[in-house]
Amino acid sequence: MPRSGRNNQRGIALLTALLLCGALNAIHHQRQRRSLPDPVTGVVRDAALIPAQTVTVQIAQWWRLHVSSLFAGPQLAQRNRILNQQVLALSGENKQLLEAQQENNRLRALLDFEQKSPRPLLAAEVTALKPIPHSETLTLNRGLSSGVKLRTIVIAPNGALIGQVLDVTPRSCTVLMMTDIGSSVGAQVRARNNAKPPIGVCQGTGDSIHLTYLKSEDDVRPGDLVTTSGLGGVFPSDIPIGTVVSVQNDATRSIKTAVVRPNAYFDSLEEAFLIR
Amino acid sequence: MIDSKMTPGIQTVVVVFCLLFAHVLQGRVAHAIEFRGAHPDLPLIVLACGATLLGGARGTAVGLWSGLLTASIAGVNYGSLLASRTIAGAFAGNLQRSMLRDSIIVPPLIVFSTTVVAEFIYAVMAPNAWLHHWRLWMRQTGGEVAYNMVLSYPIYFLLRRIRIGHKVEDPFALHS
Repeated sequence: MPRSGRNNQRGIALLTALLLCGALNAIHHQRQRRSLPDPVTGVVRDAALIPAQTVTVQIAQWWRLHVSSLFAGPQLAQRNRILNQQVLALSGENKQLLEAQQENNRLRALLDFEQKSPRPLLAAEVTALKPIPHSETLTLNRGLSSGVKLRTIVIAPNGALIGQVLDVTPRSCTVLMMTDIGSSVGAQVRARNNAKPPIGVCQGTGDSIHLTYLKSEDDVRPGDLVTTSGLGGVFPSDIPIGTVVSVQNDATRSIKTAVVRPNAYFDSLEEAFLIR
Repeated sequence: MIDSKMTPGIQTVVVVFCLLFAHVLQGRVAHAIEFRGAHPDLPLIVLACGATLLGGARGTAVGLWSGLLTASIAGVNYGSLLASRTIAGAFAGNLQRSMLRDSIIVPPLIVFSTTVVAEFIYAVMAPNAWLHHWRLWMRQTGGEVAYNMVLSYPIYFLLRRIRIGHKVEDPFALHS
């Protein structure tokens, strides 16, 4: 093909691709505005990416279980001994707690208190962690078909907050993690001595979390537990976020900011729970 | 010099599957080698090498596919990611194959230029992603460019081993 013909072909291909980009973007935003899943994203993600990611997750699990475990025998035996001792201690503690719970239920029934039911959780596997640069997101293998909706709250197996669902397709969802620069959550510091808990906003900084808008007189110290405040209306209250590492005063000394170390291990997440 | 037995169409399909695999690996491996918030962009490296080897219109097509995969999984800045990867694919595809012969400096060079083009277009189209955190953005992008350039060698070499591109030369002089 002559050189001018090849150049025309390239130009037409680029123009067609850009027009297609515009159309796909328009469809995506139109569907998102109506809180509906984007069909193109759904097909690409659920038919191509999620099956491939699920296979790699299963291969990684098989490898850990059957190959890596062979080389960790002595450590596993020692860990098993420690865990057995912990199980014994916790069994006794659990028995006492069950008795206390039964007594609590009986007294609540007598006082006609409303029973507070625990939040139903949905377990999910992390199929991709931080899949694109400059964005702290993860992908879970649960979607609309499992009852996941936009802004569903996601927590780690240890109960710590991970973030909220940003995008959902029939079989998967994307979660915006707390550490992302676009993420912010109403938060409070666990109060001491029955004082009013200091409240602020937890904002992601890309690699950690900052608790901002604390008043200068707020008593916040390193080691304090930070939980959700429930004030924004999106996140329920009392979900652990992290622990205060340091506190910095603003130049004007009217507000202060605390650096918070997240309780969730964002770099080694394998499973997560969605609060339904 | 060995002629590739695969037709250009089959080569494009192979690159399409390589891009899918790169996206899967990105979500499983990239965060593990993160350094001060910077990690490699494996799909972008595959796109740069694959599109350059395929050339012209096919480079644009694989760019669109890569953009679609990246934007689908990202959940944020859908259109910016889609367009930046498509244009990056077109850019890499238009790096003249006849001028860029296999050589030791070609893989990092094409990956560097494609990464810069992709990140520049993304930054222009989605200023909300960096405007208030430009230091962090610069640090992450710098790290990403460096990572991508280092990883360009094995990926370019692998694509050449599976006969992507019109003629397989000996980029690393292994057979001479």
